[in-house]
Amino acid sequence: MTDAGREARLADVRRAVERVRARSVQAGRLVVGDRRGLALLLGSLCYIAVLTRVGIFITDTYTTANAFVALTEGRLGIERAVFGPSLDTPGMHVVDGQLYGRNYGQLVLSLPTYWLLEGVSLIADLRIALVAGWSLALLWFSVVLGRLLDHQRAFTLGGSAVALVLFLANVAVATPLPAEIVPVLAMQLTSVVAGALSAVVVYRLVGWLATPRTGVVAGVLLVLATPIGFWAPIPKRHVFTTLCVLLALFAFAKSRDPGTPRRNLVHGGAYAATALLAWIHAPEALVLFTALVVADLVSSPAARYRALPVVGGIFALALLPFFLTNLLIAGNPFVPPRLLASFDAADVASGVVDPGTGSGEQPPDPSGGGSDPNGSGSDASDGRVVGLLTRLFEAVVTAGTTFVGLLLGGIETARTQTSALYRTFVRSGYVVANSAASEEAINLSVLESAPILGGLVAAPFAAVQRLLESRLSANIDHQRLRDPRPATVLAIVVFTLLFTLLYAERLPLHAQVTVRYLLPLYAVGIVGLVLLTPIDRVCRTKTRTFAWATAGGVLIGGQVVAGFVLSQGLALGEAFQFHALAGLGLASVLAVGVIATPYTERFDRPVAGALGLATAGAVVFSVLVVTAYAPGLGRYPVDGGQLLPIVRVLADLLSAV
Amino acid sequence: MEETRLAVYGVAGFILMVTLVSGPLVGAVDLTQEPTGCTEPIGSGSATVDVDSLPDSATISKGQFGAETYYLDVPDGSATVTNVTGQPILSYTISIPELGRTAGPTLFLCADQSSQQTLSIQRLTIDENTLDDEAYDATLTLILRGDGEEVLVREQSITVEVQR
Repeated sequence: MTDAGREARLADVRRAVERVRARSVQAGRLVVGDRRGLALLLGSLCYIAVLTRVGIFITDTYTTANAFVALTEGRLGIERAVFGPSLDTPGMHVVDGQLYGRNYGQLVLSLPTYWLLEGVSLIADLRIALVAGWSLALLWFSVVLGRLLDHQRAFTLGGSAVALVLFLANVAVATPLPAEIVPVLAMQLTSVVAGALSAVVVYRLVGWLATPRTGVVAGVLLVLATPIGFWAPIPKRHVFTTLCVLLALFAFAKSRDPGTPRRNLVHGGAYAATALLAWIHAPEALVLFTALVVADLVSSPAARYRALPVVGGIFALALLPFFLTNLLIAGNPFVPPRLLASFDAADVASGVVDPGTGSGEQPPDPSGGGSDPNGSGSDASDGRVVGLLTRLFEAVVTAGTTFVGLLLGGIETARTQTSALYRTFVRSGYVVANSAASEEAINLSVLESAPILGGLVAAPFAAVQRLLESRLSANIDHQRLRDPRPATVLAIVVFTLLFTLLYAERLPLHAQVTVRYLLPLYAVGIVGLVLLTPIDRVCRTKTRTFAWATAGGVLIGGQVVAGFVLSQGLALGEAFQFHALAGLGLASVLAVGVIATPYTERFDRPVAGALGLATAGAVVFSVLVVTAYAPGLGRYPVDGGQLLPIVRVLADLLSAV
Repeated sequence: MEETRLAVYGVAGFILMVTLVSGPLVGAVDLTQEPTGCTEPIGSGSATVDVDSLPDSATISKGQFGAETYYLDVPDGSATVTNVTGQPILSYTISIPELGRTAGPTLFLCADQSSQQTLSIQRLTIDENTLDDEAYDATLTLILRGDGEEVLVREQSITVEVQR
């Protein structure tokens, strides 16, 4: 009797466990897609963790970190400087004497990580827990990889051994993590996850538009061959921007296909990603929004306009957190923090700052405005709708004029200051204008940071070849733009142009290292690159060559480069410029190779090798920056050292030479 | 197949167990310790410093690989440190008055360190616009601070040559 009862209860428990498991698998599949996506997520997490240093490395992170601490305590306003020397830090905004940060979307997304870390620190030493998490991710990664590559036994046993050894090695040299750094760590880990998810989304986008194999290569390139791996652990907005852009592109591409289930919802998802970006950094969201609208208008058949209410509804809904945050801070739902007055310690006494001044136009109506940011909800309801509409109109005008102003400025810069653009995109060198901020030449150009983009040289050749082929088959079809692939490429091109113009005026700039402002462009650049028909072919057919070239380049080339740089006793600026020149060299080799690919398949193997070496170059640079060059880049007071203790030991060894 | 399962669950279980056992809830063992260095108060005690060699000259030259900045290069010197008590501070500096620049490392001496100390100054960036002369007079200074007193160990003038 009792036996049967126990049996039945056991079966119940088993069924419940099974149900939970099935649900989690379902939820996981929604995010990563399939086993390849899972492998990319885990592999990216493990790699980015190696590049993670715990701490604050750029002064405006003080602002967001202090805003985040306030948020964890349930307040929007900042009251004390937990991090940094004072509250007078870049990016601090003020309304009626109350201080606010910015990038609130990013901060809210980091909250769950903070709670998780707080919870874990109750039962475990945080450093050990992080090391354990990393080792377990590595173990899981090797198991998944073994299944994918059909070498289950070897990968599982090998992965177990490696995970165990690395865990023990890390524990052996572990140092405690200061408790007060947890908020910063939470922001960093959230950003790391965003970086790893970017690789997954690239895989899903390219995997769907081209082939899964090309998608995997694209995901790997995103993390290894671009500076995204380096920037992911540094809690700035750029990696979140990249993820939002990729999500929007993925949803947009999917919505071009009539066969997509819940198509309107997916279509709305593209705009929801834009809304999320607005919550993080509104001007960039405007660029993404414009690019999406343009691509949508061009690629939608007339019948698609029936989806407008659904798409618009989802967009409006997704914008609510953004509007709510603005309302609580500025008293006006349509004025994001960046349009507010900046905090300056000298101005504190004079106090009253009006949220409307960002545009230089007249202040918003008195019903809520500057007087009481939190109280506007209790105003008389008559004028509210009209007032709200007026404000919306004002906001659109402000945003529109600011935006157009920025773009025009960008065009002007592109026309008159070609050398600045050249410095930003091709060859950095020593930029005199920046010498006050950073005396050494440590800010690389886009191509120097990601030599892989040299492959984009193939684009015009591939396009012409394509055109010739379709002309021959008398098959030019204007409807083709409605297909997912060309429509996505169009969105990418428009986005790239507008995004470049947005920042053209301000670049080159100090504290960029690898042009972080343009981080999303690296991601869409990778997507554009592998979608070129010949490169797609190389990725698909010569994957092995690519993989071995990358591994060889990192393991052998990395040692040669490290040996050279350290034995020559190069100064920081010289070492960075050495990597810059090496990057340009790799980019040129790749560029020469890809030009042949549209016409012949004979050079596919060397091109795959060049892709691998360009990837390895970026990996070696990133690893050296966080180890050997880390002390030279400056010591900051908020510093918990490298996330993984063995990387810290490696860094000490390398910088001691 | 059983073997691989065992390996995965064994390793995962071990990692989780170590994490829990070393955590505040169980607290059986503390696995994270600050690296043990000198625990003596900084600037206390004394030492005997013998200078073995100091460079006679230094150069200012342009960076390589298009770094284009000018760098000050000072060859390494060396000193022998004996009879260390406490944690005295040895500061080694080069100063070029005409350029208004002073730089150099601060060494924290410790009884369990090796007695041979390399005196090396990191390459220092120099603004090209300030470089009017072909050579500058500079001073190398070695000062020992301990128990509230400062001892000038060595002072030596050298010439810094600008190579364009």
